[in-house]
Amino acid sequence: MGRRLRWPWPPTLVRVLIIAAWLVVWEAVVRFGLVGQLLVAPPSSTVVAMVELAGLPEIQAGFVETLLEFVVGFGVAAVVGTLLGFVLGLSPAAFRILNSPLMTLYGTPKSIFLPLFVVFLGLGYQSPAAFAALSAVFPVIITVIAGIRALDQRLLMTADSLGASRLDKVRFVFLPGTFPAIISGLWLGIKQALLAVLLAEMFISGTRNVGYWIAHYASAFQAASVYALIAWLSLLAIALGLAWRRLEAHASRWRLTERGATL
Amino acid sequence: MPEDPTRSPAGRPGSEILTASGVSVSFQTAAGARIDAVDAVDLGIHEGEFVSIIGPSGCGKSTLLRAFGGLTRLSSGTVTLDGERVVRPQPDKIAFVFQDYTLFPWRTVLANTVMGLQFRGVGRREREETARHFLQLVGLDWCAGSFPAELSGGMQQRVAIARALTMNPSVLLMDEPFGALDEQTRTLLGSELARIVEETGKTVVFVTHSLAEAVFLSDRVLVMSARPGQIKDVVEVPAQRPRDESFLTSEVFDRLRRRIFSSLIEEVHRQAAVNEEYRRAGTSDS
Ligand SMILES: Nc1ncnc2c1ncn2[C@@H]1O[C@H](COP(=O)(O)OP(=O)(O)O)[C@@H](O)[C@H]1O
Ligand SMILES: [Mg+2]
Repeated sequence: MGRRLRWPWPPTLVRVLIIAAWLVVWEAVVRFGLVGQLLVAPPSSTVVAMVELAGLPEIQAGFVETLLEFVVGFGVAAVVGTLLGFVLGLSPAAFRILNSPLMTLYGTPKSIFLPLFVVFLGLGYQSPAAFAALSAVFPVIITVIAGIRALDQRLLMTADSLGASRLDKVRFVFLPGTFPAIISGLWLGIKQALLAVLLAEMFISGTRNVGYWIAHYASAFQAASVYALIAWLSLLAIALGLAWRRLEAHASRWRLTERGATL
Repeated sequence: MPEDPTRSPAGRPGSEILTASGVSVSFQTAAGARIDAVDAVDLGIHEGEFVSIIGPSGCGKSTLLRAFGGLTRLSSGTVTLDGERVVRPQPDKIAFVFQDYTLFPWRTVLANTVMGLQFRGVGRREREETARHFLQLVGLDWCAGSFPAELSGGMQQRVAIARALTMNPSVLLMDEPFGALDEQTRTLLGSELARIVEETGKTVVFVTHSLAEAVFLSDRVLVMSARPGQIKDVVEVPAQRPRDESFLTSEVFDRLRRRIFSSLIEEVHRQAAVNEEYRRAGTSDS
């Protein structure tokens, strides 16, 4: 057994190199005509298109529209999901009554409801928002219930012995104790909501949102513009993910996994 | 022997503060079977007295302690504190210290210590002042800002004791508070507890697995029978206070420990037989 070999470069650098290599290969494949430029745009044209599109007012308006759908949809899912999660987690009676219908709904592919949304909510931002809410609410509910179930009974008995009222227990035990679970549940919700918003936009788009513009450029065979929009969306999602990771770490800092110190 | 061995003899300073009469507690298991955890316990505990309860694992010690503190519904009988019936937790009069996982991991030491006062509605400044005072008493005021995960098990239990004392209870109910600690820490915390109890004059009911701990700390040691738990034996510890480590090596100590051990070991075997019976009957049980 020899000494463990140490990777010579820092992981961030390696990551950047891998991405760069992939971009070079992609560029080369398109430039040398291995795939049609009509369908696949090289990274260089994608970047150019990203800059161009970002300057167009109608594209900016499309992103505002899409973000609005996402924020409304996810916001509703976050509030309703957390509340329902608490009700189901805290009340055995509510759980018995509501759990099986909710799980049935959860198991159904939500896209079959898309036409219904159009019928009831029209072609405005409401339909994609509602579809996002419906898709995002279940992972939130399920994670919150699991978080409540995972709370240690001994802590609840301690709270009782210290004279905590029901409200005290919700405020000082259940909420902080399930906070990390709520945060990770909401992240699952964010991912579902983003997906749902785009899906809805592609299928039932009435307004000029990002989904509309993607479909528009695709039918005009402007691959670079399609790629550019997708790239902007991806960057947005990545930024959200990074922000959420920090929030998550902050929420569970008392777990001290990285410090693990004992005095 | 007095007629009723569970009543302490007359002449003890302090009147009876906590009384159990005919206390029984039963549980329904998930399988539908009934477990009688505590059966018709009569007991009187005097003000300022330190009483230990020792018994085989699973015999109902924790259940009895919770019944004393109003944390468990009784199947029959009554618990009274100062003549008033205890049917729910009494945070101004009775405080608990449990074995482990008793601090709220997301709260700092100080925030954990103030909790009882916070639930009572005491203002921030006052409750933090009180909390710091008791943290100082257990020697932990210097880590008020730490999270429980940064503390050793012994330190966590000291915080739990400080928190219990902030409530200024007349009775402290402690359920194997040092059970998860190593022998040395146990001995140390035991002496510290004895000092605090002598200083504050609290009445203590103390569940333990350790014979030495029971004899060293107590005025009386109650031996519980195999389940359903009853008070089988009462052993007085007629040693002066304050007690120091020389008591641990004295002849009285040895004699009492042997006496309690022989009483206890019988019940341990009986409890093992009870558990085996349950296992055979196919009832799930710890
Ligand atoms: N909440 C509960 N539900 C069902 N059974 C319980 C419950 N609490 C305790 N028991 C049972 O009661 C018996 C006594 O438990 P316990 O008082 O914890 O014993 P000890 O503290 O002496 O080890 C055990 O058989 C245990 O399984
Ligand atoms: Mg126990």
